[in-house]
Amino acid sequence: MKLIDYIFGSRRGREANRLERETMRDPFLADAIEGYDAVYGNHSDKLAELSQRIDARAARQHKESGSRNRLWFGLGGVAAVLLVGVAGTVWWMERSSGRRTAEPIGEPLAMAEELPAEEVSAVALRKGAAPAEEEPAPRLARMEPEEAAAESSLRSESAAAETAAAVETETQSVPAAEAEEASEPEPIESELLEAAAEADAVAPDPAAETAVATRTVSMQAREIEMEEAAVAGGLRMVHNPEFDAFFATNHKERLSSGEPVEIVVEFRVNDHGVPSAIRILSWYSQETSSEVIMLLVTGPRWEPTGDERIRTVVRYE
Amino acid sequence: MDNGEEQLSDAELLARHGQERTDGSLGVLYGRYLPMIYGVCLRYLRNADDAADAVMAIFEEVAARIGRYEVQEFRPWVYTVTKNYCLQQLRRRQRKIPFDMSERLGECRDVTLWLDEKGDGDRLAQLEACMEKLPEKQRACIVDFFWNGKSYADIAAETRYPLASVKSFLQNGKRNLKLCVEKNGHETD
Repeated sequence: MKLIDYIFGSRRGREANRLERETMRDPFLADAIEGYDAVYGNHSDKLAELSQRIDARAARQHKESGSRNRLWFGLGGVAAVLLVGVAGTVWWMERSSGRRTAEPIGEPLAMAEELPAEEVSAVALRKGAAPAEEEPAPRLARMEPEEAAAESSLRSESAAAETAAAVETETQSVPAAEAEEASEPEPIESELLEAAAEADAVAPDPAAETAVATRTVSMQAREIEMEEAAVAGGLRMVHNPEFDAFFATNHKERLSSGEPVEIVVEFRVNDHGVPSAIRILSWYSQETSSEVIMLLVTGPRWEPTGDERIRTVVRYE
Repeated sequence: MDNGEEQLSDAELLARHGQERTDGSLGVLYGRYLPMIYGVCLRYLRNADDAADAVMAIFEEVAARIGRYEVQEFRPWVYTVTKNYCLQQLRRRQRKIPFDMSERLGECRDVTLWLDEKGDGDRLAQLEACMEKLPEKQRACIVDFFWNGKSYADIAAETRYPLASVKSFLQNGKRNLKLCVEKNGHETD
């Protein structure tokens, strides 16, 4: 006979006698039975509830036992992750700047639709620009020493914005619906141009100006390619008026520029209608990105998308 | 949690717990003794809610301590952890601590064994001689319980003694038997 049966009333017959004899040899069993007999209550419900709680608790990770060894292992793990993260970021920065320098100078210039014709031609003249069919050569290799210095100075001044912009523009794409609006410069680009202007103000070097223009042009070219890729990828652009209203009333960040800014966000919507795996495509600042993600997760529900990723535009006005 | 763990022995579950990253196997093992652990907590703490809280706290304690000690037998170990936790709680609240069941059972362990197995010829003769000297109520309860295989409830129903009295007659009868056998043994020595 099981203890549970005995506790809940099956106390007659040889099986009950067998269990009672066992209690005479087993203090654990004897204590338990005496406990049930001593306290009146709905023990069966309590046991069921406890069983569920133990199952739920047991499914979690091993609890920190307070052992110093485990603590040190944990700290070591965190340190290792941080190290890998930092190394990865450095590598990524190096990689993205490496890619940029490896681009042929003629090709981006050909795509410079945004720049005024005089500026493009001035750049071309200053550089003695090679024709488009000229064999590509690393840009830095073609720079004069003072030009490289200006480039390096500029890079250090706008490192954060540049890194984020490079990451976003290289890895993400812009939605098809946005493609038509692509002629308007993105906030990041405007930041870059501002940074370039600042750099020029500090050191008005024609060579540096050339470098900035070349890089801006090459980034625009890359963005155009990415936009085309987005169209080919066919990601849906979704507009959720409820979220827009929620965002308008709840966002706290105020933009220093005072200008309206649109932030493109890509995500999936899980079965509970909550956005997940969120990526900010057009980065403005760390604060706005965090706020957008937080409001997306805590805001109104969206139509679940399963594995499909969708995009939306969040407006700071 | 139906991944065959219910079929595993305590030792196998303990071994598996050492290998995995969650407390899943420990949960199955602890769940196996959950009714007994809860019962012990009830006995010491005398309150269902306190006992339920204690069961969860003891699980945390078990999960934290099990990796630090080489636990050979889970059953007696978890009983000790449970009892110590409850005693600690009682001491904190300055409440009366009930008698220790292990000590009480230990007093008459030999007699229980003799009565269970009826022993060899000499021991049986000694027991029967001593049984004759027992008070009637104690003798009747011992005969019904050990030799006729009746439960406490059966005996209470037949004799119309209260259930608690049946248990008391059995306990006292065993103690008297033990004293009697020991005395006779010394006499025969």
